[in-house]
Amino acid sequence: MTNLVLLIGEDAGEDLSQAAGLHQHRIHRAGWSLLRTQPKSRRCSPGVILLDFVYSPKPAFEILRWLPTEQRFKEVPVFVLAPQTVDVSEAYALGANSCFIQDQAREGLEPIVSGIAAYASLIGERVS
Amino acid sequence: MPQTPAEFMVDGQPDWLRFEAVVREAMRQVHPANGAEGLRAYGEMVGVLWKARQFSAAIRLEQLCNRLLEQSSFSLYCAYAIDVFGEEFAVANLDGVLCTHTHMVPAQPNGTLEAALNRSLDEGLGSKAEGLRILIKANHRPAWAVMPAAEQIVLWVRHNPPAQADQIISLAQHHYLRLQLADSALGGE
Repeated sequence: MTNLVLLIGEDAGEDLSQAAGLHQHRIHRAGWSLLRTQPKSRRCSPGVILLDFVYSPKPAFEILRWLPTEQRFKEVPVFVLAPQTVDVSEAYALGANSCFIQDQAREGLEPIVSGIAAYASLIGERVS
Repeated sequence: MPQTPAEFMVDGQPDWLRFEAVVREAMRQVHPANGAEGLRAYGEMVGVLWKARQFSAAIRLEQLCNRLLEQSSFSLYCAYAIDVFGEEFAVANLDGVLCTHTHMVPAQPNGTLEAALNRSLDEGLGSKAEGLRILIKANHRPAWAVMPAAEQIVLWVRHNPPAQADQIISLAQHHYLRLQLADSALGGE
């Protein structure tokens, strides 16, 4: 599972589902279910975690607090998709690596998801 | 303005009362008539502390400066001698500095650094470089000072390290030096 993006926000709206679907080889859309059902599995070791505040299955800050308590996620970059109303400073304080703000229409989501898929594919590669 | 940090340091940290007394006196001497109105100050001490690797003292001093700024009307400029290609130029070290300023101005605002970094990203990551550029540009960090694109790239690459971060930065440094040399040669003609 290394290099895979685990998307936490699996009941996402059409926009995110569509954007993630374009990179289905790279993005696991049932991220939270996977973490819950295989909590101790070594296989459950993603390259990147993408947490969507809008469609998070439980309060997103709670998930951000929980992730660093799990040894296997300590080195995994956590990217956040958040609406403008969220105080992302708190997300950074809890260990988020990058935060991407989305307006209500969630315009510009697809390039960001593509960028995250590209980023995940780079992990572990060497510069040519 | 104070000549050495010792003038306002107590137990290794800047002390508000000492700092305020020293700086207010200096401001009164240079601008006695209108208070601090229209005054521009340059804070060298933060750079001195940073160079001595007293990072927390430098950040504390920035906080005291901001406290003073809230009470007076003057503009404050600070300078840090930090190698943008060095490991020191990383989020863990710079977060406090960026949170206490409104703008970061590069030492050489000629676009050479950004050109070198983009070339390095393209050469090192190929078609995937564009994806990273989108993420770097979209990354939202409202508590930080507004900063140039080049410095944003370095900080992001270091903080979200694909395995290649060191190689990308080192390749960019190589390109940067070459571009600087080329610029110097053109300037000398």
